[in-house]
Amino acid sequence: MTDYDSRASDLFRGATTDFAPDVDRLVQGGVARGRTLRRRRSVGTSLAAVAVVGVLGIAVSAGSGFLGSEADSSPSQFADSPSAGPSAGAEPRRVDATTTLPVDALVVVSAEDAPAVIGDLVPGGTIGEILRDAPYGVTDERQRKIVHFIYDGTLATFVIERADTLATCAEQVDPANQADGLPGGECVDQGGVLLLRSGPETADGVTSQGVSAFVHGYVVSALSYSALDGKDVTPTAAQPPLTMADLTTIVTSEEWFGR
Amino acid sequence: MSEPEFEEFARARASALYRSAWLLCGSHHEAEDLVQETLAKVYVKWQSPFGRRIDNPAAYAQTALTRTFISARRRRSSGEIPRGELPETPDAVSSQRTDLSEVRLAIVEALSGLKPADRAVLVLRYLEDLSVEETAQRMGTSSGAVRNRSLRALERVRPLLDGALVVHPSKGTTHD
Repeated sequence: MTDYDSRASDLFRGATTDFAPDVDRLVQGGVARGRTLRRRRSVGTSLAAVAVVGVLGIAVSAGSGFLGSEADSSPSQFADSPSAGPSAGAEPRRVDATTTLPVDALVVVSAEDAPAVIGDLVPGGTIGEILRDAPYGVTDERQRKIVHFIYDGTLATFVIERADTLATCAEQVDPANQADGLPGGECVDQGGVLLLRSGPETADGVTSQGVSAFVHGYVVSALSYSALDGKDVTPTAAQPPLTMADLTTIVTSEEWFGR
Repeated sequence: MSEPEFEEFARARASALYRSAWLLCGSHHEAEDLVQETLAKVYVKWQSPFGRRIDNPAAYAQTALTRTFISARRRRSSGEIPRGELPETPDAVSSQRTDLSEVRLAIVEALSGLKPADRAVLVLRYLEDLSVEETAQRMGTSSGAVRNRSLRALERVRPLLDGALVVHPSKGTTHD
């Protein structure tokens, strides 16, 4: 080993030897991702052949329209201020929701795996095809996941985005920001978690409802529709198959963050 | 092998993997992401009922980390652009960077201009202390390629080495 080799070793070791990573978080995140990876490899796909008909209005805009218009993305530093999970049975109450929490967790579930996870969280329904073609598509970035899929023969949408790239809950429900001048839902605090609850509302013959949770610096959203498509199609169910309670279970789950 | 055994292994190796990951990625957030991704792959292999037993889990994890990093960088279309010029001169480095965080910043700057595989060679050779042959085996390349990459990569950090920057984690840095 040359003198330069020795110096390089000393430099790298000296610069990193006092690192003290959060080992619990690394291990738990690794295990959670590993489980997801294993599930993806072992479960396979039981997909129904579904023709996507028409151009939807609500669903394709779920990534931004439902959540509010995007603001400039400004990456923030990791913060160690974990947000509380919802406590079972807590009654939701209205809140003044004008701020967002810093990011304090990594999203460990891929967009492709989200439907299977949802199937585990709210058993009983049938998870169908992921809608990959336009106007739907799958977004699977590290801090932004969007997937549209079939649930019990109807359209469902799941989204995770960084909260600081979106309007606050209060801005999203503000009637002044809605095309019809009516409130765009309600912001409630349920067991310490800020929720945006929207619907059920019927447009173009299709009923939709959705819930967003502001957790770990992200907005986790789930929407359910009463039809295969979001607009101008015949409803295939009287109501969206995922109830508001189901949607709340989905968006408040810690499964998305490997906890 | 059981899940508790995996967790025990992961806890024992997480810090070492993290150090390598930080040198590869240059940021704590990305390093954490890379370590989790690596552990996930090891977990799947560990749990696989059909897979062969992992003879050397530590080496397997290190190899998975390196290859995951290189593969991810290859996929990333908006990746770093290699720089044409070297970082600051040794004199500037030695006169200005006097504490550990600044040394880290200097390392990140120096490594940022390297190709992912060159960074991986540096980490395996000088942090993990592997031989040229072992490094080649881990990276799935030839010994000659490792030597070439090693020379090129060392050239990038040479200003830091020429500056005789000595890192004492408990006290910061001094200069010879």
